[in-house]
Amino acid sequence: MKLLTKMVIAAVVCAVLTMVVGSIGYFGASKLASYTVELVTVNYPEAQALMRISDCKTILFAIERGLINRRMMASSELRKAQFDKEKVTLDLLENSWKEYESISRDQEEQKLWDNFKQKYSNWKVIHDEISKTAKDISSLLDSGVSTNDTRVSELEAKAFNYAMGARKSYLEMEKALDELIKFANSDFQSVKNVALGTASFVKTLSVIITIVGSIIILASASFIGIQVTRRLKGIADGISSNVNQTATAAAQVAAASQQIASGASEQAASVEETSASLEELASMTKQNADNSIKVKEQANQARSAAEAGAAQMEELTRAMVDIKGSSDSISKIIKTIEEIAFQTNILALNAAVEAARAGEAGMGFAVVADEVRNLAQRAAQAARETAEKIELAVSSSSRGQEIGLRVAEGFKEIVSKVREVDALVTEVAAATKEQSQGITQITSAVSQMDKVTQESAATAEETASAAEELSAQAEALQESVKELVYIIEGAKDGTLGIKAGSQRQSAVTTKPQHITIHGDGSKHGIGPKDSGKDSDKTGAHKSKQQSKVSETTRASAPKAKSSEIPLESFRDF
Amino acid sequence: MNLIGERTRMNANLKKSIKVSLKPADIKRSMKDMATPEAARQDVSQFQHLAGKYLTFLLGNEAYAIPVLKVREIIRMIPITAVPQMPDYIKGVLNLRGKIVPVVDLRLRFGIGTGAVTDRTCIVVVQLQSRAKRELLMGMVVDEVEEVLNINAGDIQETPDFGVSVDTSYILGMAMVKGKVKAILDIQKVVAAETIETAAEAGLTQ
Repeated sequence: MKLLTKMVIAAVVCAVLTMVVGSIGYFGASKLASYTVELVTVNYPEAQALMRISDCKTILFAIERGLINRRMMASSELRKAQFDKEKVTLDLLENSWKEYESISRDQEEQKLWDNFKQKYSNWKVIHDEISKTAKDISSLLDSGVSTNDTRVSELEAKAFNYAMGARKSYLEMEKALDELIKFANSDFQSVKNVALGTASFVKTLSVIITIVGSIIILASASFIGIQVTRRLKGIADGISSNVNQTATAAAQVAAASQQIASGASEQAASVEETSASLEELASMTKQNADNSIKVKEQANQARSAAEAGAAQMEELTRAMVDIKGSSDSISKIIKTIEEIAFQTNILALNAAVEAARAGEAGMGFAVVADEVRNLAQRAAQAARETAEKIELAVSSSSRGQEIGLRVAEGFKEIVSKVREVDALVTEVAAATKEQSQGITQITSAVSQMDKVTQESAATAEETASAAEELSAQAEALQESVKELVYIIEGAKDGTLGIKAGSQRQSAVTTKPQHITIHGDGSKHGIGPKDSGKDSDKTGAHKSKQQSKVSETTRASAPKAKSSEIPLESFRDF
Repeated sequence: MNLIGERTRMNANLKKSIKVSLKPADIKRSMKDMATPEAARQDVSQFQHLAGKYLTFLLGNEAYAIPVLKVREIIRMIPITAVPQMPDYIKGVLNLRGKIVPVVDLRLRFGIGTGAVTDRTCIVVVQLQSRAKRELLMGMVVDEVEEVLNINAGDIQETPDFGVSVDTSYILGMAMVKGKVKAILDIQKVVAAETIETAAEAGLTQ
């Protein structure tokens, strides 16, 4: 069942009981009021009237006595006085009569009244006679007749007779009036009894219902209160722990946000550096592009130079070839000479052989052959030397040719390399262009990144501040929870705030807790701040405590006292 | 001494009598080591019969000498007509002014491998005696012909004995001329009888 329902039911029960009690009271009161009114407007006036009538009649009776009393009638003042009095009394009686008549009566009373009325009229007649007689007497006396006058005496005797006659009727009237009065009294009494009865009934009922109602209300209120308290306590504990976690999480978020913020700042710095580097890179790329153009030009120049050189080399090679050709022919000639020398040598040898075979006869021939051989050898030698020289020349020339060829090749290579360089440089130029484009893109991306980093830094700052706020809110919530617990638990712990596990130092002293009872950490005295926050919550309770607290804080060292403060205030409370 | 085996291999199809395991270079080297003027003078009387004019020629790096009287003619290298079914040291025949002369490659004969034919290569035509005591002309391919010189008996020395079973009888002696050692060949033995016979049988000689 919903708490509200329960409370509503309890309240309804309460209200019902109250209404019952109230209505009982109301009706009792109204009943008593009606009785009182009755008493006051009916019974009392009745009684009054009747009493007055009674008094009047008595007075009238007395007056009768006076009127028939010679002594009493002696003086005219007395007589006047008596007549006045009689008139007054009759008036009064008449008024009272009217009064009584005006009041409603029930049947029985009416009967009695009628009875009385009759009796009264009976007596009244007589009384009037008496009165008349008295008046006659008076007038006689007034006219100067003496009291001893027979007329007076006659009248006196008449009056006396009337008086005697009146007595019976007077007594009957008196009796009737007494009956009436008794009836009225009994009516009075009965009304009083009824009223009392009603009152006692009402009282009893009230008491019973009050007691029962109180019991019911106390029971249900306690029950509900205990339940609610328990639930609230559980919730408060839950909230408290949640709030603790929230506070922790908020602190973590704050720290993380701070980190993010600092990281973002670092990132921004790095991005700045990157930007600077990129600018450098861009400028270098531009330089590269320019340089590559220059290189292309240089390469072109080199190529043309190399081509010229190659042409020159070709000419050189041709010259070399010519040299070689002539050397070759010279060599051939030398070879021929060598052959001749060789042949000659062989011839000489043959001659020597023949000379040797010829023996003595061939001695001279042998000498000749020897000389020829020498000559041949010399020729051969010369030819050889020449051949060597030619060989040298040829080899030098061929070396030169080779070198020339190699140089020509080298030139060709240069040319081809230059062409390659050209192509490469073109590629480099294109690539540089692309590179610069890419760098532009990167630059813009970096600036975007910078922006984003700034934004993220700002966001992180915001997050940090939001986390701080959250933290503060969590603390405030903690305080509220503490208060809630306080409300629920009262002063069970003896101190404020220990239970809720405040972030501030919870252990050592309670004074800080008192002082820092409110989450914004301002260390004011307890009094004024308390009122600011709590008055709407617990009103009188808190203010009372607060006054106590401020007294005590004003008084002395708060440490020991502060722990007692709430208890005291509660005890008082 | 691998060359012995090599030579044996190379001469495998030679007629058996020729077992020339000669290394004239070794011979000459040892001769140089041993040769002293005193030693030379000891053998003067021995080699008196060897003194005379010799034609020296080169084969490989070694110089040889043959008596000039045996030399008929010296000619330059000319094309040699090859003859089949001859031992490999018989190069063939050549036409010498109308005469058919068999040609021997001395390098192969000495087993020192074929040499390159240079423009100094000559053919020395020598006169030999066949078994039938007839005059026989043989050509020898030599690397180079040096000169005709006189060798004294005092320059000639004994062919040393190498202690191996080689037939060094074809080297009659070692001559020290102008600081160089020249082996004096017994040409008759070099171009041995069986070769001549073979050649004769082949109808190559007159």
